[in-house]
Amino acid sequence: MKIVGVSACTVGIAHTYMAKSAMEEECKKRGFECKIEAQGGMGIEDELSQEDVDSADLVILTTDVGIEGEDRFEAKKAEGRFHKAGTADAISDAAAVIDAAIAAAGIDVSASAVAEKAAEPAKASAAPGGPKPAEKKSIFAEPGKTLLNAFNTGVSYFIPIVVIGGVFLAFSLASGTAGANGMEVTNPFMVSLNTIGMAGISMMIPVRAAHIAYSMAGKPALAPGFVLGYLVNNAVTTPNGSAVSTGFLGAMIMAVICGYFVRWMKTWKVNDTINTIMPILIIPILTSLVLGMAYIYILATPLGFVMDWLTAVLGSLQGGSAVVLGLVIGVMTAFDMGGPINKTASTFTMALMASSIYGPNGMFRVAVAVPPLACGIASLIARNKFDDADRQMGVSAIFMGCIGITEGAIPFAVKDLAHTLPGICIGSAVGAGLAAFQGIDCYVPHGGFIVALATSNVGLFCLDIVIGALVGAAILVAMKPKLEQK
Amino acid sequence: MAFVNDKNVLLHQNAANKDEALRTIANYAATLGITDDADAVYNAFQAREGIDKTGMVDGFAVPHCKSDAVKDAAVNIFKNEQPVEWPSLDDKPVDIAMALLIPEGEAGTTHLRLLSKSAVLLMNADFKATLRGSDDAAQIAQALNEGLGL
Repeated sequence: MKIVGVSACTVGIAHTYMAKSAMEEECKKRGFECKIEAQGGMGIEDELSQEDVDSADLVILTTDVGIEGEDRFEAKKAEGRFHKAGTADAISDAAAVIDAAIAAAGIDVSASAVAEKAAEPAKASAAPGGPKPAEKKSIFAEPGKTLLNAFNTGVSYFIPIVVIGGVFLAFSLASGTAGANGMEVTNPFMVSLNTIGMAGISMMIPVRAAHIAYSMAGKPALAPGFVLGYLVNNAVTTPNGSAVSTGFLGAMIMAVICGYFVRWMKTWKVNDTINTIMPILIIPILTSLVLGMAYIYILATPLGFVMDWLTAVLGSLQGGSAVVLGLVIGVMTAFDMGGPINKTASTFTMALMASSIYGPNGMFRVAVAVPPLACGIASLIARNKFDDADRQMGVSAIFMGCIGITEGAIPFAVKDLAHTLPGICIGSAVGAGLAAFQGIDCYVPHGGFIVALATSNVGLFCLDIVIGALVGAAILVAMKPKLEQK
Repeated sequence: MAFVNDKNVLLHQNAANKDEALRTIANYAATLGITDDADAVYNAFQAREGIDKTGMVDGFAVPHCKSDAVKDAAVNIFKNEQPVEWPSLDDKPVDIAMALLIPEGEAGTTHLRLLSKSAVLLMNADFKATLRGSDDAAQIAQALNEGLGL
């Protein structure tokens, strides 16, 4: 367990340092590794590098004032491993501050630490015991939480790239005419726009892979994550001579392997000289070499088969089975609002686009817009069931829905998952099902009204989104309980 | 040279409340030549009190003032005969105050460090026991110097 933090108070002489000392003492008592930066009257001391922050399990600020360099903790905030308290809290009861931070982050402290805590009252009356040996944490600890955090982090860095690529492509393709190979763009400016959009799209998978790995193992995993992401997204020649690219699926799998591999390398015991070049030289090179080769010679072939199989199955769906597919895609899209299940659906649809099958993408691109729109509409029409804060979120959710960002529905789901999920799942399924029935193709890997011009039927595409959103909103309103009168 | 000597320790004080204690500390700072303007120091103490409580736990407090009226960084220990009401972390009254006098500006960083180390000493049980148990100004000053590693 490693805790880092910043301590800062108003004058910067007394409380800053008392809180720092209290946190360090408590960590020592628990056998935690600990580094607390002081931002006080003597400037910044024990400054935390990004490396320090990335390698920590938990960030705890004990501050009464704004601090410098809070952006260092963005990734930890995104992972929910960030906790804030006042200097007085730490001085009067550092143990409670650390307990609260651990609980909030949902970290399962190892059995030894728990036992030690249970023994604490007894220990307090006895002579103070020596510091406990540092707790050993397996690199495979909490796999579920690790992967969920990793995919969420990956998604949060990936969305702006998708938006760049999607929006530019949408405008460019909208100017073209439907031809044998999808949309054909002729206007030179629009061709340039297309080129920029494609640059964004080609960054998409490397960025996602890199940040999944980064979330799991910190900065040293970032570079190999980018390299592996690029590798899987482009055709490699496998031992049997065929060219294979495995896109999203390959990227997710390789990024996770990369994350664990780097975690493992970070546990290596090496001397100090080597240690300084581990993160910048040895880890990136070895990780890229070993995993890159493993991918090309071992994993690419089976992963390629899986992708081919999925492509074939999904591509062959027509008529009634297409509607079933639409319903499934719709539910998957809304179910975790941009999380791994949603991205699995987009993985499939994008893989099919690579094979010039645009129908499932059409269904998916209708579905992504529905959840935030449904939530937004519901919050605006049912004034007795949503409060003012909800309505403010609603406005931004509608905006996000229009530009096809499913995550806009998350604030509503976080607040009240049980009453939100059925509405948005059904709404998305209806929208996607309609699109499947009508056979609407979408030629860009982005959704919402902004890509309507890059679909095979602008009017129906928009209509499906609207119908899905209205159905979803109606169910939301019906299910939501009335606000309690205060 | 020791940072603190027996002159920095005020024993057997009879302040009736926090304001009186701070007034005594400020006046005494002028007596020691730490400041020429006891009123400015008193006001700076009160300004800090206005932001948040300076009382710690177990009857200890660290009032501090940062002011350009303070000529040299200093720590004064103030022991009152009876605890007085003083907003603190454990809501107990305070009878021992470690007053930190901080000059304005970045000058004299080594002294500022001594001040913050003094404050951190208030979290050390041994030091607190000495501070509470002793009626010997020289012994208290020595404990503080030792705690500061001087």
